[in-house]
Amino acid sequence: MTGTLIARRVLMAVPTLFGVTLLVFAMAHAGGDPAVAIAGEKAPRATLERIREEYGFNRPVLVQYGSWLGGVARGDLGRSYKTRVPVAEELRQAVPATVELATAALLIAAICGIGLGILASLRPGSLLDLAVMTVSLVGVSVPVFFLGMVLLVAFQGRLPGGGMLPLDVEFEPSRTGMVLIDALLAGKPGIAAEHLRHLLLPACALATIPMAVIARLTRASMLETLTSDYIRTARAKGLPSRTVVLKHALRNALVPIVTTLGLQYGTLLGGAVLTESVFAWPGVGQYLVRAISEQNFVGIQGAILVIAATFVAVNLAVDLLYTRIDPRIAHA
Amino acid sequence: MPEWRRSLLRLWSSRTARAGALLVLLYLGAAVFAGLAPREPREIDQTKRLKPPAAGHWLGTDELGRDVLSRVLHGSRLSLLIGLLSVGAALAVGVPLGLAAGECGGVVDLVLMRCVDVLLAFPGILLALAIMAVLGPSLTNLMLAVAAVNVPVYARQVRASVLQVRSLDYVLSARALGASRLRVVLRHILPNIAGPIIVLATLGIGTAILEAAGLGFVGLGVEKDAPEWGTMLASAREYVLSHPWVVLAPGVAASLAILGFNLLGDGLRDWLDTRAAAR
Repeated sequence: MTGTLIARRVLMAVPTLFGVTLLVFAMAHAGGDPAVAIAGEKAPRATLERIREEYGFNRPVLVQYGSWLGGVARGDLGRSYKTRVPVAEELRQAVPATVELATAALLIAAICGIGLGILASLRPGSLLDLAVMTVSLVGVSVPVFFLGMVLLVAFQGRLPGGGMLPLDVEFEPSRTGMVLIDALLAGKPGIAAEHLRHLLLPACALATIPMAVIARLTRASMLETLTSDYIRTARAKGLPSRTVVLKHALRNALVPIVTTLGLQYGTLLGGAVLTESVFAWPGVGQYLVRAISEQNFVGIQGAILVIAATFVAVNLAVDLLYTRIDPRIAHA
Repeated sequence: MPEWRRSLLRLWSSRTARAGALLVLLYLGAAVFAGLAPREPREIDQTKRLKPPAAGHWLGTDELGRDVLSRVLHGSRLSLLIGLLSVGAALAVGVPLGLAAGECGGVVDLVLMRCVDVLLAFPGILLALAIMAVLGPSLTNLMLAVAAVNVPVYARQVRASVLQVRSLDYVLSARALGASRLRVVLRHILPNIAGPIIVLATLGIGTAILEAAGLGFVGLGVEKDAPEWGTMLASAREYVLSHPWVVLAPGVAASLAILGFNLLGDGLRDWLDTRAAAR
């Protein structure tokens, strides 16, 4: 892949990111007077004036946007109206929790989705195929928060249904912010195992939709590949079925699947907002819902910006990865 | 047998489309006849809090003693309203934008598609959440938020469909005969891309119901006591382990409605693909 191509793709993402900042800022400021949101509707006029002065709400909107954008570029997302703590600092604790949850869900979705898709493609039209397709259709239709509650009922007493660790376990993830990785790095496998038990239900609930999408795509992609001439040749040469399926067919069928895996990360970030609410998972989603209920517009602005920017970055990475996997795209 | 009838029979012969149509019909029936529900959906009876399913209350009662069956039935009416109106509004904005981008090309296409890119940079539910945070919870705002999330999706799909057909012979002939740009778009392009739009709209109703329920679940849907499925799930969540029926009824109803539209949309897509291949 040429450097020019990478530069072009990266440059194309810049206007999108700029638009994202503009939209996020506009939305946060369209909700009425932020000074009233902070001090309440019954606050005295003098208090409101003082707040406007303190936060710079009395400056022209464009100046406010420029100043906010400058802050964003430096990693400063403003100060929470409620806690007075910098939003970037609050999100620094919440983001790793969401990334950990979304990554675990993506792993589950990839392993189960690709596995089910391969099984279904080997016997198209069979009972197994029908079952996989039905499961995948149901998977994309069940609201993630409802599925979360069903899992809570189903595994009641066997798996923990909320939080990241038991209340009596004290552990501060200090390196990556992700409990599982930090516990392993700190040589505490007991804490890692306990955290894994807490992670399992929310990750499974969140994984359902991507798993269903990946299973259907894998089946379609494998069916197309399995009827290709080179697969027929491989079979005619007498290669074992396992080798033909896993080494020859799957490798080629994987191209669209890898792309979809990346794109599903965005779905997971969106779904995390709802899943985290069900399982009291202290990630960006729960932070955002709390910020909305508290009318903390700086927090809302920061959380949405972080999720949208991650989404844009993941899409860009997938785009670049795709051209790497299939060089024909780069020359198209 | 006339062609249209043969075509409909082919659609009905698809297992997916048939299952979807039956579920959607069931859902429409529930919405239309919700007025026949045994109780008023907001009728509180503190003496009957969290009663399990029984003869007087087939699906039990919730934490305020309201009849769950009546609330679920009225919920279908509300979600149908949200689904249809928000998809209608999204189509009303997204289709003209997609047509303009695909037909005009150049700067118009560039500007419109960059705006679409920006909107698509947000995971759908997140954008809806942000809009609701600004506008505040209400039925109209909920429909606006769900519609706004779907506008860029429809605009992009319509643009792609326009690009596919705009250089086909019948469109070029119409242009050569002196038809105006508007006439070409409305009389020659739009009818020929209606298929994918119908599929997208059918699937979109399911997505709209899902998004509305998600917003209701985080407290940004309609008012708190309204019989909306997501709001019902949110208020019942603390009883999920002790009284699961309060959660199961609205959850299953929402899942079946969404499944119905997904199956019907899939069936329609397969049917249109077969028709296109047969031509």
